[in-house]
Amino acid sequence: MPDAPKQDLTVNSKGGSMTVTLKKPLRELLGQTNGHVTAFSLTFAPGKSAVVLMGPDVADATEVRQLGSGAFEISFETEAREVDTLTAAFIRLQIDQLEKEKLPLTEPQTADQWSAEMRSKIKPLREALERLSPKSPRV
Amino acid sequence: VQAYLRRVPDSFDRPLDEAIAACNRAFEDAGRTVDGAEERSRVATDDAASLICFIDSVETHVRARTFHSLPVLTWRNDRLDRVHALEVGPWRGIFLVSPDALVVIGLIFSRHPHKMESRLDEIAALYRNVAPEGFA
Repeated sequence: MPDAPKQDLTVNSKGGSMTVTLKKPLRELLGQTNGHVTAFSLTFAPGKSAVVLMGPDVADATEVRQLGSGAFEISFETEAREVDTLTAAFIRLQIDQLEKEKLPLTEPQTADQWSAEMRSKIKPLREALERLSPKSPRV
Repeated sequence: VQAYLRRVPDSFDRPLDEAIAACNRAFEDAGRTVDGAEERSRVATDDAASLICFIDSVETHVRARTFHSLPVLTWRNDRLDRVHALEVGPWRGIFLVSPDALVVIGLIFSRHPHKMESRLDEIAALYRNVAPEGFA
């Protein structure tokens, strides 16, 4: 759900461009713009598109993914994890091999298939933890 | 339900299997001797609980398809696009989300921070797969 209600905005078209006036509530949501905002489009279907505007504080940390036909997700990265040089190089090598279709991969799994595979592998661990749990009577 | 999770056997599955085996051994070792057994038992319990939580979290993220919401990886201020980390206790999984978000690939599983010699072993294993014929 958007955190601001849908609003009708006045536009002025001139030549091939358009000027839209954002009144105070929407304008304030863009934050400090320094005269620039970032825009991108989402196409839901042929001829059915939306344009999203972002202030610079948000644009650099925003990622857009297409989840399916007519569905997108816009996410804001609030944190990151720094990796060491060797790990970064290894990841890049793996991605390079993946793009060349040379990276060995397991067959695709659903959540249930992953769970079923792991259940037998971690059964002794779960049992050991249950034995050590203070709530469990010790044998 | 469309299958979604794939893994790299050498750098994700094998280290994960080894971590499970190591946790099992730690429980056995903790109960073997008296000196320090309580501390070893506590470490073994924490590691095992975190590992189970990690595995359960992978299931949750596969089911909800939310790996992209995990922290992204960076190296020297460079962002590794579509590469995300799942960290639970000492365990870390590194996942690559496909551009269309239809597949996620478990690239690396390791204890964090990773031992360099282990990563070199993984690079050597990857190199064996990519080396041209006659050099493998």
